[in-house]
Amino acid sequence: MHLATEAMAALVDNELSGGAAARARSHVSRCAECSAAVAAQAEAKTALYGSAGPALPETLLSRLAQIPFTAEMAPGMNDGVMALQGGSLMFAPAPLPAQVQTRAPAPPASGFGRGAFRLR
Amino acid sequence: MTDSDAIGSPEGELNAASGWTPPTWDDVVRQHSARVYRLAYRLSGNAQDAEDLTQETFVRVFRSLANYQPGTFEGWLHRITTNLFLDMVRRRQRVRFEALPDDAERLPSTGPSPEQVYADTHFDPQVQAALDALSPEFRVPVVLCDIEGLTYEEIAATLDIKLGTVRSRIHRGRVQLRAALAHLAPGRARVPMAGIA
Repeated sequence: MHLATEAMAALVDNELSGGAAARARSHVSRCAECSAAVAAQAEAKTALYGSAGPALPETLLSRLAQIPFTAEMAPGMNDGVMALQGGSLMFAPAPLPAQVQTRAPAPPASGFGRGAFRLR
Repeated sequence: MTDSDAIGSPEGELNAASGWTPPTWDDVVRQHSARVYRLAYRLSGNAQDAEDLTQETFVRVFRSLANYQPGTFEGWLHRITTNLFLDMVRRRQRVRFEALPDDAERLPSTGPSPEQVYADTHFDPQVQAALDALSPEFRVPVVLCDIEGLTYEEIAATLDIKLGTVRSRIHRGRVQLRAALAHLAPGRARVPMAGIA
């Protein structure tokens, strides 16, 4: 009996429960075939792990920052959660579903349409 | 995955009472853009698609802030980014199938040179090439697991697939990844074993 292939990945990722992990390690220590297969999983993981992230292009960063001023918004989107304070766009987390049902009707969409963000 | 840097950590639930200040859009962008871009890059394998995916992810975030539930912001970003990537893949597959055979060669081959990849990313171009060689259904869970550090449960939730499917796709993805690496660089030094006795 060999280790199930799914258990090989899970062993490398510490995704097996204590008992299952101990049994798997015990088998791997005695089985050259499974030991090699588990080693291969770990090798692939190590090749990916810890790689430095690609540098975020500056132009992209400024485009992302401009989204509140450039994104097409349908009427009613984000009603009630957006506000401009001190010239910067802010938002608050949405209310929990139970609160959604009880809260006052959303203000007219026009008040929160994209025009509302055109301060700069 | 760490929740510590997620915006709207638990104390943010009732900001009026606690004095918690909601982040500005600039805060959201600064805090999360590098990570979204990295995920988009590893999935798509090139800077142009990564930029488009990142831009679209943040547009979606901005449009649906009202649906945001505190504490799940990073999970939400992972889900949006991976879904947009899978949509992109499906759209291109359709284009490829519908294209006339004569047109097939003119479809853009988006692969930059290995030198360019390294200059852009400081990421081993052979590793990126090996990732690119995986079919998306294997690439996505492997990237979420080994690069983003998500647990199997988080990956299952992100992709809306079963835990057993996550396990088997990660296993098969890694088997293929290692084979691709061996093929790309036959003399590649073996990576030391990581913590498996």
